[in-house]
Amino acid sequence: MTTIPERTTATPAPAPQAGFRADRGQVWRWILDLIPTLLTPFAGIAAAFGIVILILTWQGADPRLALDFLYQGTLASAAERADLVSYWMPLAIAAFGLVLTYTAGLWNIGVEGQIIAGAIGATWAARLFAEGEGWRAGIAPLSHGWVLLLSFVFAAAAGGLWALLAAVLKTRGGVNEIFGGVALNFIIQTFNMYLVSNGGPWQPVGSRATETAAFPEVARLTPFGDFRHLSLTPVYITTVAFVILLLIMYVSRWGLQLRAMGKNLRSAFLLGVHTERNVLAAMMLCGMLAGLAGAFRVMGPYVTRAKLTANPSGGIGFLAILIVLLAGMSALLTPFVSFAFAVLSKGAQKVESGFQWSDPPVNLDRSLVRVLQSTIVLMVVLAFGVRNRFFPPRSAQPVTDDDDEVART
Amino acid sequence: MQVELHNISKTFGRVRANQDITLSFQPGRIYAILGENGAGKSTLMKIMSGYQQPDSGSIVVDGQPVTLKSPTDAIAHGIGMLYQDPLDFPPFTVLENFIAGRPGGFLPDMDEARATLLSLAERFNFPLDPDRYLDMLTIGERQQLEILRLLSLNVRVLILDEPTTGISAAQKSALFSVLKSLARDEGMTIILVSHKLEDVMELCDEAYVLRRGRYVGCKEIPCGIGDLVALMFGKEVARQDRPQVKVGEPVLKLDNVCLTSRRLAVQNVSLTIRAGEVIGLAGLDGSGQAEFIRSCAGLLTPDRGTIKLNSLDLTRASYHQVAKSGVAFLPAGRLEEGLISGMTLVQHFALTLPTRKPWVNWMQAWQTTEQRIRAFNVKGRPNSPIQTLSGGNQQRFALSLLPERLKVLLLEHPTRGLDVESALYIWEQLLQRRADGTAIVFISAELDEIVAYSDRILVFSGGRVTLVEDPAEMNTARLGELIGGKMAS
Repeated sequence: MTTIPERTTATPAPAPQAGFRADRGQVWRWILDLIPTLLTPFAGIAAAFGIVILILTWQGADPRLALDFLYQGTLASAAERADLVSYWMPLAIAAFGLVLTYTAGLWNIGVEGQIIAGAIGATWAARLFAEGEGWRAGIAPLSHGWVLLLSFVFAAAAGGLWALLAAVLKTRGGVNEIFGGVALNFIIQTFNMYLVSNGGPWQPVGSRATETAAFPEVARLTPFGDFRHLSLTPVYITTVAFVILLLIMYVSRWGLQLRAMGKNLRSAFLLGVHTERNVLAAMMLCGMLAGLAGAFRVMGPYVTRAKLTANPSGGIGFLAILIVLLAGMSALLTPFVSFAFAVLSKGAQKVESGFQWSDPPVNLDRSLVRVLQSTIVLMVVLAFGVRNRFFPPRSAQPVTDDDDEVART
Repeated sequence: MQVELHNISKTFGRVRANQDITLSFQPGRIYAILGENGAGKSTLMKIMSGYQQPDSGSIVVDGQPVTLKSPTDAIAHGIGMLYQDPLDFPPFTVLENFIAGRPGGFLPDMDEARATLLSLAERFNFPLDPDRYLDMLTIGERQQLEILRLLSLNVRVLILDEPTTGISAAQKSALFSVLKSLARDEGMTIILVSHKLEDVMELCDEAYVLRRGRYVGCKEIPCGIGDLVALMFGKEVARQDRPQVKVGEPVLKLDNVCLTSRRLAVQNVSLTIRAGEVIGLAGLDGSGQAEFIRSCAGLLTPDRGTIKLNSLDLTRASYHQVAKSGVAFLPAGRLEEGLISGMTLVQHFALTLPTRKPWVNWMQAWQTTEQRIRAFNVKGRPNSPIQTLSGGNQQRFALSLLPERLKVLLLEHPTRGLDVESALYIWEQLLQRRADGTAIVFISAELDEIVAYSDRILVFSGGRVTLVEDPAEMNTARLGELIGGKMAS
């Protein structure tokens, strides 16, 4: 309110002194309002950590030691940090896509399947343009840059189409995107398994591992410096995606339309928003970003990671859902929340192995981190629920005065 | 058993559903509670049957004030309610449903219950098989079962909410004869909640009428159907003097339009609406007005007939195409349809301001918002979330959102829930648009509003349409007859 300068108008402003005082009061109220809003998530996070500390203590593991292992496994060395970034990028870009759909009220559970579709798309591009399969079909071998570009295009197209399918099922078939997404997740997971297992078409002949052969170097991302697992290409792409997301959410009319749809689809339609078109577009854009996340996950750069495995997404789609919920669908917060979640996920491995070799050894499962991540989301959402129940923000309270009387003046 | 309601009031948020209602129900009589949608009759009956608690006021049963905390509580005091949609368990049998809610603990006495059910069914001549599953029964049979269940719980006051919706004519006459005998022979009190006037005429001894949450009067039946309508819709007021507006060229032309919706069919409507004309749509709720106005807005495609705007055929046009060609629609439920709860006023303008640019011009949106809310007297700041405004302000804001130049403006209940001042203000705005050549079509449940502002009136009754060319010659009784179902002679 106060950030907008007062404009001079032809009609005299009513009682400027009184108006000024009211404004100052409003700023004060606004600040008072902000305090619980800022404190609430921390209360939730603290509660979640409290629960996990209890579990750790109950298992006989020292929580401080766990924190140390977490640090060792993620941020302590340059190699670990590089690895962390390569885990963070696909997670973040998938979450960016979800910001769009969740803002529009589309609960795109199918994001996990869209990531897998992207991974399959990228693998297909690698096979077509970098391996013998394409050459036999008459496609000339392409340069590194072209293969990468085509891999990303294929991945985005596959993810986008898989999401579009869920969207069309929703708008034309009346299938809720949650149910459609769950079903499509199963289908694409099964298809992925078919490709890489039991003599599937993409499993190397004679191999018993449920994965494709490693991609040739021309289909792998360029490693950054000495880091085997880090490439800067995903970092660039994710950064560009973030800027575009910010423009959509905070500058464009389309972002405003998505917000309106998320709050009241019917009213948005009646106010002139092309809701069906927007549902399709938001879902497809989300699917394309998820597809890119899938590509990042299968394209290396190191040879051990440049392949389509039985589980190419590693569950980051579901993790991205938690991230967007925790970030309250805020585009600005999403990179930070996804970073925190990347640290937790990545560090879990070290926590598990660390306690195995500690004295005395403690058997912890790395899935404890998933418990922590989910508990954080639950607790933060719960904290906001409690806040809204008992201390409703002023902005949500009705203007309590004789406002209908204004008509007389 | 005598039941009295003393000064019952109930509010939901800003809505005053019941205001200071005092009624008395005597044994042996059949009462009707009449009123349009939103008049407060359902709320009042829910309070009486223990489903909701009043904010203030008391319920007195046989001289003793009682507090009804739940429907079970109300049944214990002898008050039972039959809901519009039977509240039963379709996967269970008739007998199992009959037992549900009866005292009898964890292991009810099935044989005793079966005997009770059969004897009751025989007494009232309801052919109910105790072992049939409920989902194979008709609505009417389920209703019969529910009545027997309530009677077996010794209910002395029976409230029925729209009991004749969805049952056959034979079931209806069976129901009515049972209700009559319960009142005459057993001295029970029967309360019928309905807006079907023919049912009320056939069954009831006395009608209590509610309007806008208040009790407005009672009529002994038989009486003229027009008198009841007059009570329900409010007294006719003298037609106000308005600046004479020259009615212009025809804009919207409906030719033999037939509409079907889930509830009813509207047959063969032909109407030519001219620029600057005000058309009022009158009728009891659900008589076809909503379907008519929605088909003009492009939200309901007619089965047959054509809708033309000037020479443009809009019969099968989408809502957005219709809106683009200069027809605006303002639905009744402001926060459900039309405005977006959780968004601020300036966001609403940013969303609706016509522009081809892909980004939002917040400066322009802010200036427009400030200017329009000043012009429309909306009490609220540009950054107030819309839901924090009062109903009158929301409605004024919804009007301010409309494009400035319109050919046709379609409104559903433009002043519902508003106080007199706000309603007058809304009409000032509408008449100003009319002076600019906009044709206005509006639905209202207030007869005086329709008579006061319309150039012509379209009366809907069960999907049939009667056009009243000159409202000045209309009196409330005549209009009431039309609304009640008598065709124009």
